[in-house]
Amino acid sequence: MQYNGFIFDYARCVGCHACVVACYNENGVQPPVLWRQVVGVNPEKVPLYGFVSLSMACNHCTDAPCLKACPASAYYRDQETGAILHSNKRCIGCKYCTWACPFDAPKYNPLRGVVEKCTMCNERLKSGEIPACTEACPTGALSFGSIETAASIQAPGISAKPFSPRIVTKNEDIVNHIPHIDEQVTGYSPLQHTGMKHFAPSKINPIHELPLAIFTLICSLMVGWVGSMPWVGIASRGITLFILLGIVGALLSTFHLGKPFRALRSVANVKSSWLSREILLFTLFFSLSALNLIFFNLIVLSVIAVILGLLLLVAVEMVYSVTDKKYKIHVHSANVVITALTIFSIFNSFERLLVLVLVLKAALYILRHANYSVSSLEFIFSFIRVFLGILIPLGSIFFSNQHISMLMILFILIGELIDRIEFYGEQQVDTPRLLANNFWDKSSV
Amino acid sequence: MKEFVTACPRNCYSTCSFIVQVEKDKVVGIKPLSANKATPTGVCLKGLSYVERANSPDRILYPYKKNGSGDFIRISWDEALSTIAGKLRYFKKTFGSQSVLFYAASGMSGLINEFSGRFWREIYGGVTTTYGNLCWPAGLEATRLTLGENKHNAPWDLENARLIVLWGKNPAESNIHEMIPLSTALDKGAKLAVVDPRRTSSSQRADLLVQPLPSTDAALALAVANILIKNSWIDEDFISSYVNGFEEFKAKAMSCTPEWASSICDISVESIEKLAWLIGNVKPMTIIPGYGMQRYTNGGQTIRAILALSVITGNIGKPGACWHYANLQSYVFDEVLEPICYYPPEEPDSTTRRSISTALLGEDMLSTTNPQLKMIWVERGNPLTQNPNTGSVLEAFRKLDFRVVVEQFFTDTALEADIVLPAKNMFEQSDIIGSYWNPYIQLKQKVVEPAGEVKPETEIYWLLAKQLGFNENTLKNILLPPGNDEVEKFLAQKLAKFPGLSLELLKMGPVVPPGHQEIAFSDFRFATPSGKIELLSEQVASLWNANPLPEFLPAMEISDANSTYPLLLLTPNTKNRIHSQFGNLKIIKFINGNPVVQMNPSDAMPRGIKNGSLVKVYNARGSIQVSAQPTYEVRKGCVVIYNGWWKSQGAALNTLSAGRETDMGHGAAFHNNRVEVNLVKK
Repeated sequence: MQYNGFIFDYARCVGCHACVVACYNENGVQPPVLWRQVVGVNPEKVPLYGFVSLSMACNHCTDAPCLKACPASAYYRDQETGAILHSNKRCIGCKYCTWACPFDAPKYNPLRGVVEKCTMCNERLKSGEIPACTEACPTGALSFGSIETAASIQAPGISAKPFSPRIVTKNEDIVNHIPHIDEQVTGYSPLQHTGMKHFAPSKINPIHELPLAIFTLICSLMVGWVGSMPWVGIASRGITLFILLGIVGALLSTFHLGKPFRALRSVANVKSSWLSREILLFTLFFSLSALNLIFFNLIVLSVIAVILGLLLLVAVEMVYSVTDKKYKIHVHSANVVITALTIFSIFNSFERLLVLVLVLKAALYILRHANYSVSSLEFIFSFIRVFLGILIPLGSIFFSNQHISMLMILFILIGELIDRIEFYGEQQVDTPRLLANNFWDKSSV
Repeated sequence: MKEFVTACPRNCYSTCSFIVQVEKDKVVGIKPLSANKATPTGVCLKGLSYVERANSPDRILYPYKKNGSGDFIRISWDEALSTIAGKLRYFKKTFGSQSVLFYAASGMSGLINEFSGRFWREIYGGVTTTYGNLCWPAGLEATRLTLGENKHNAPWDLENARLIVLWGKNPAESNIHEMIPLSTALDKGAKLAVVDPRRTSSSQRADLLVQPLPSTDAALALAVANILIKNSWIDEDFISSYVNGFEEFKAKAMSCTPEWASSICDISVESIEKLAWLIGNVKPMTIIPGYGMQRYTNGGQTIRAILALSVITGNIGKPGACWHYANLQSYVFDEVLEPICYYPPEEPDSTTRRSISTALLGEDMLSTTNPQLKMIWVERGNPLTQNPNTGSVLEAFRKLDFRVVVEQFFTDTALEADIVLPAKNMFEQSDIIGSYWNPYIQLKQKVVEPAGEVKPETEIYWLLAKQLGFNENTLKNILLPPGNDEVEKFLAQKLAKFPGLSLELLKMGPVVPPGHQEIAFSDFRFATPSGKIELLSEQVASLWNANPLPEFLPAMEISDANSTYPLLLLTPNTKNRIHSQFGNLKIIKFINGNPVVQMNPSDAMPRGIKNGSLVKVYNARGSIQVSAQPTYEVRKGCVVIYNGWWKSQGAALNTLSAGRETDMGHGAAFHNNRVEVNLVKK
C-alpha cells in the first residue's frame, strides 16, 4: 500500500541523536520519556560482526496493535494523515499498549500516569511540513515520504511482526559489512564477550506487576470456588471472604493503573481489547456471583456465573497473547485455568484430581525451567514454589488420611503466587534495543 | 514567530548555518538552512539543543560574588564592576599590570573578540596572556611548513574521491556533515580506509581498519611511504614538478620497513601493506587527518609524515584529492593567520605582552615571577577541565588573590571564581565568523535581547574602562561602544575591505569569501621558501629544532614500555559536547549522562572489570573514578574517556594529563598519557 511514512537508511545513520533532540524541541517531551530513540546493533563492536545504528519512534502501523489492545480506546487514527494518535485524557495508564507494541513506541510516563507517544508531528504534516526528526537528520538517514509498506519488514533492530508499519528501510545489508581488521589487535575472544554483553532492560518487571499477579490468582481462586459451590455450598463466613477477595482484586487492578479514577474507561474497547473483555467479565462474574450468594442462591445463576468465570479465565490468558514468552512450553504452570482447577479440586476434596493437577503443574514447571539458568535468588524461590507449593501438599495427601488442611492450602497459594510472579518475569516484549542487542545472537544460533 | 539566518560559533569543523525561530524574544526552534553547501541538512544534536541552552534555568543571568562560606550571591553590576576595577587598580599599582592574567579560549568565535585584547593591552596597559593553543597548532604548523598554507578542497569535493583515508578522525562524531559527501563517495564505489585505535562509527562502511597504538602514526606513514616508493606507486611527474627534498625523504623512508613499523605500531605487516596498496593504487585520494594525533610530543612530525603520503602520490590540488586538515580560506579578516598567531611575542617588553604557555598553564602560572600572578580574568574558556594537568591549574587558580570568570553556566572554572559575570550567548550579539572546514564567511545574528542582566563582553569592558576613569571619547577609539548599531558599524567596516561582502548579504546566508579555491592548490603554488611542497623543510629545523624530514620519534611517556601505568589513555571528542560545552543540558545528560572509561575486554577481564563496574583510572598526576564499559571499540592496550566532562559531572579528565608542548606550533601535547585502571566495585 502507498502511504506517507518513515524511510530509514542504515548506511547513513551513525547514531548522532539529532532526531532525538529535534523531537525534544518540537514536542516538548521531557527526559527520561522521549519518543524517539537510537539503538545500536552490536553495541560492543564485536570484531567479527558489523554494527549499525537505528533510530526509531512510532511507525504508525496500518494494523496498529496499540490501537487494538488499548482497553480505554485512547488511540485513534487521524484519517487525513494516517497518524496513530493517543489521547492522554482518555488514557487510564494501564501500560497494556506498551506490551502490545514491538517498536517501543508508546512510552509510559510515571510522572503523568499516562502513556505518551510520537504523533508523527501530525500538526506539521497538516501544514505541509515533515516530522521534526526527519527534517533534522544531518546525514539523510531518516527521511519521510511516500512509501510502499509491507505487512512486515526484515531489518536489524526492527520487529518483524505483521502490523504493516509505515516505515521502509534501506541498506540493511550494511550490518554484514566488516572491514579488514587485525584480529589480534582487537583482543577478541568469545569467552570475554560473554561477560561484557550490553544489557537491554526487560519491559515487564514482575515486581511492578505484583498487583496483576495477585489479581489473576484471585480470579483463579474465585472461579474455582464458584465452580465448587453447586456441589459443596458455601458458609456465610465464606460469602464475606469471597466478596472481600473480589473487592481486593478489583482494587488491586484499579490502583495498578496510572489513572485509577479513570478505571471505568477500561471497558471502552470490548470490541477489540482482551483487557477490556477481562475487566468486563471480571465485573460481571463477580457481581453475579456475589448477588447470587447474598440474595438468590439459584443453581441456574451459579451455572451462569461459572460460565462467566471460565470466560474470564480465557480472557485473562488472552490478555497475555500480545507478549512473547521466554519459555518454550506453551502451557504455563501458572495458567489460570489449571490453577482454578486446583482450587476446584481442593474445595471439592477431589484428592485424586488435586494430585493430578499438582503433578501436571510440577511437570510444566520443571520442563519450563529446564531451558534456562537462574540466579541463586531465583533458585530459592523456585525451590519454595516446588517444595512448599507442590511437594509438601502432595506428601500430606499421600501420608495423611485427613482432608487437605488450611496450612496446605496456604502453601499451595504461596507456590502459585511465586509461579504467577515468574509468569510476569517471563513475558517478553520486543523492543528495538532488545532486538539490536541480540541481533547477532540470533543469527549465530 | 520570526526567523533569522545565523551560524554556529562553536569550535567545531562544521560551523553550520541554520535558521533560528524566535517568539516573544525567546529562541523556540532551529531549522536547517540549505544555502550552506557543506551543512545543507542543518545542525547536529548540540546545535538543536540551543533551544534548551538559550532558555536554560541554569544559565547565569546576573553578576555573582562568592561570599565567605563559598556560596555565590547575586550582586549588582555596579558592585561587580567597582570591585573588579578596584582590584585592577590595586594590582597594577602594587605589582604591575602583568600580575593580571587574561585567559580566553575557543568558547565563542567571532571578530568582536578582538576588543577583549584591546582592553587588556590598550586600556589596562598590558597583561600576561597565553601563547599557543590547546587544539591544533602542531598540525597547522606541520602543514604550513610543508604546503605553505592551511587550506583544503571544499567539503563537498570529497564526493569525487575514490579513496578516502580517515586518519585519526571520526567525523561521525566530530564533523557529522562530512559523512554526507563521504557516504555519497562510498555509494559511488569509493574505498574507505580508517586508521584509528578505535573502531568508530565512521568506520561502519570501511574496507580497511588499521589500529596502530596512539602516537605511532608517523612510523606507520613512513612504512607506507617505504612500500609506495619500493613499488613505484608514486607520482613521479608531480614529485619532480612540485616537491622539494624527495630524494632525502626517499632515503629516510627506505629505512622505515613495514616490519619496523609493525612492531612500533603493534599491527600486522599485512595491514600496513593493505593500506599502502590502497594509497598507491586508488586515485584520487583524500586523506582526512584528525586533530588528536598532533596533540603528542611528536605531533607535528606525525602530521608531516602522513602528509608526505598525499604528496608523493600526487594527491594534492585535484578534485577528490587533497590533504584535508584545516581550511582557513574563510579567515580573511585575520591580520596574523593561525598558527603564527600562536607564537609567543617575539620581543616581550613592559608594555607588550608577557606570555605563558597554554599547554603548561598551571605550571607556568605557578612559576611566573616578577611579578607573580595575582589575578585572572577568564572568558570563553573552562581551563579547569580543558587544560592539561587539572591539579596544577587548580593549584595555580587557588594561589591567586582574585579570579573573575565570564560564563553562561557554573562550570568548574566559574565555581572557582570570586566574581562571575554573565556571558552573552550566540543569539545576543551579532558577529562574523569563519570556519576551519567549510569555506564560508557567516553572520551570527543577534536575534534576542540579552536575558536577565546579561551584557556582551564588549559592554562589560566599556563599563569597566569607565570605572577605571577613561572618558567615552577616548574609549570609542579603542573599544566598542554599547549598542547594536555600533556592532553593525564595526562589522560593516571589517567587510568594507572586501567588495562583494556586506552585512545585508550575510543576513541572507553564508558567503564564499573572495579568492576562494574550491580545489585547494589547484594553481600548484605553494607559499614555502622554495615555492614547492617541502618534504625537506629547513624551517622545521630552524624554527623547531627538529629533523627537516618527517620522522618518527617515540612520544614521551607513551613510549615508556616499562611504565607502571600500562594502558594508553585516549581522550577524544564526543558528538554530545564541544569540549566542555553542552554537557550540562538536560537533553544531553539524558543521551550521555555519566562518564565511562571504555576499555578492551582483554584488558578489562584480567582486572575483574565488567560492564558497569566502578573503576579508578589513575597515574602519578591524579585519579578519577568512573564506571567501566568494556568494548571492542577500543583496541587492546588503550582506554578511552571522552573529554569535556566537568568535575561536577563526575570526571575532570585532565586530572590525568600532563602539560607538555608539541614538537612544533606551541600546541598542547596533552595526549601523552599512560594510566592504570583498577576495580573499585563490581
